[in-house]
Amino acid sequence: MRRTDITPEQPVLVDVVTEPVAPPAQVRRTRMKLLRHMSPMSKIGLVVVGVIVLLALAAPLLAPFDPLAPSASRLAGPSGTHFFGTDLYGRDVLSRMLIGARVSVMVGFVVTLSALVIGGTLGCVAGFVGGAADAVVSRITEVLLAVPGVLLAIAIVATLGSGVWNVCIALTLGQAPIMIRVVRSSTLALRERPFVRAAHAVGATRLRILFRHIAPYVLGVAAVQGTFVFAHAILYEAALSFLGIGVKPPDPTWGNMISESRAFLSVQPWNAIFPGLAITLLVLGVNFLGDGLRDLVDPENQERS
Amino acid sequence: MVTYIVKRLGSTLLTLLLLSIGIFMLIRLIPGDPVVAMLGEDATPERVADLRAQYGLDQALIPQFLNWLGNVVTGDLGQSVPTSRPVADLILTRFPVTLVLALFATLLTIVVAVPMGVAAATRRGKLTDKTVLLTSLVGISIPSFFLGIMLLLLFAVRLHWFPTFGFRSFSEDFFGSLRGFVLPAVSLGALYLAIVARMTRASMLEVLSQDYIVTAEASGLSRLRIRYRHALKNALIPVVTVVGLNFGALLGGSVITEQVFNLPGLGTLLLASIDRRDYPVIQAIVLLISVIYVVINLLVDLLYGFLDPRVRYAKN
Repeated sequence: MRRTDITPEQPVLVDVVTEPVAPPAQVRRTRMKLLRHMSPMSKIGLVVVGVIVLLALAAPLLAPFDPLAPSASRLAGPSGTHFFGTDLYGRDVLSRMLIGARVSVMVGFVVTLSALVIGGTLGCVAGFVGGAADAVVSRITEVLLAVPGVLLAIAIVATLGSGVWNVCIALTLGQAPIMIRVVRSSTLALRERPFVRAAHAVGATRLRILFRHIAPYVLGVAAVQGTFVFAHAILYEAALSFLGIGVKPPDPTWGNMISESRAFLSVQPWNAIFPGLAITLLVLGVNFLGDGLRDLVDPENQERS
Repeated sequence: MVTYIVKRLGSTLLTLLLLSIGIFMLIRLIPGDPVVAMLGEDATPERVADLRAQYGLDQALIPQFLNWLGNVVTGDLGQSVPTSRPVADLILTRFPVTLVLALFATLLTIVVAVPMGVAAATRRGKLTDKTVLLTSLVGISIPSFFLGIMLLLLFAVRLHWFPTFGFRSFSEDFFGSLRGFVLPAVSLGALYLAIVARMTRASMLEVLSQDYIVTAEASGLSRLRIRYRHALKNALIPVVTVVGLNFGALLGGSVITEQVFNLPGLGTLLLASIDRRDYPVIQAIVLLISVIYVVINLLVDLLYGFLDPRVRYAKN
């Protein structure tokens, strides 16, 4: 849904007359100022995401009980020993959520990195080289984007089978095309920029222009899109697991925990509430971060938001 | 305009062709033998051979595809594997529920999100604006199925305002049936509501900063008149396109919502078919929703080109 959100246009940062081939100095400065210039909201986002990622990494050490074995009576509410209560088999919900966080975080990182690598490469090539390469890449992108995101993920997982890696493949196939589009249009816009033309005029090679002059800008735009990919990946993985075709029980994920809680919703609503809040909090954190990052990378957009 | 229409039509047809190739290939990407996967390991060899012939899996790929495409275009979507019922019939009985759900959610989106966006834009930086922005961020971040479950818990289980489960058919009890769509529509629409509210706000802010609005203000026209007669009209152009594009996405998203609320639409049929490995039904549903999505995309593009002449000449 973010397809139209990102404007590839960026203000002209370098004065052509006085400084024709200057590398985008502003970009480097922006990178250093990143932390200092982040809005309070995006700092909150960074902290939330950071804490959840750390919890996920340390989950096996932190989990107070075995996430797969019953440790108390069934469907108990939150208490001093079981902070988030127990589920329908008497398993500790907090321990399951900690282990489940690993799936969300891992899927988020794997899909984001894959989308960045695939989308960054193909988008740059399509935008910079143009011609047949552009036509082929754009056409494939268009076809993948012709299927609504959720449906594409469901169709691919239905074909390949469930499991965390197949979920990653399915989500990458849905997210990479969006990244390709964003990077491509950003590259296209930059190609006509005075400082890029100037670099070309003084004899810089195409590769040098691509890596020295275009890539630094594109990286910022891609990073912003990357945060949205991360958020989408977490939401879609949770949805697929909720539907019973993503990561299947007994391995806990936030999505399949909510799914398992449904039959006992009126008896023990906490079993759905805690994992649901966890997903919302993580995605909210990522979105806070993404919005802040976008305002830094694309000041024009900030004007309007 | 005519060149623009022809170009967009051609490109859409090509996309649809490639899309149908992709969906056709889906069944061939199943690891192992797709026929065995569909029928199970203990199927009789006759049944396996029968099904293989039915799909033309014993023929070369290209005749297979052309044959399949020809059938699809004429409305023959094949037969369901376990029940042998025509797929088109199955889909037709389920489609109205999904369509009503998506329409309901779209209506909700427009009625709530546009005023939210306008209110935020005209009170920029104030409490209203911040509340709208924060609400829409939460709307974008909350999983629709979790929202649905929470709505069920609050309004159906605790307050008894709405039925918990159990769908009533339209013919049997029309208004009772529509009532059952309220909670699903809210949980499905929340994400798009948030997107449209943000979009309206951004678009309204952009228009409000244009020269002609400043001129209108300087010439002493009333604020309200400027906002609602001059600004909103132009600000809504991009919003219309987003609402249109979202409609297709809503059809996809309804798969999840239907599952939460046990609605007998295409989504529950799709998931049941995945369970049964009923690939003809899976293919048909994915194809149908995607085609609708692509066609809406095309219509929205054409409409946009009509409303905003700059688009016609911009790209390509």
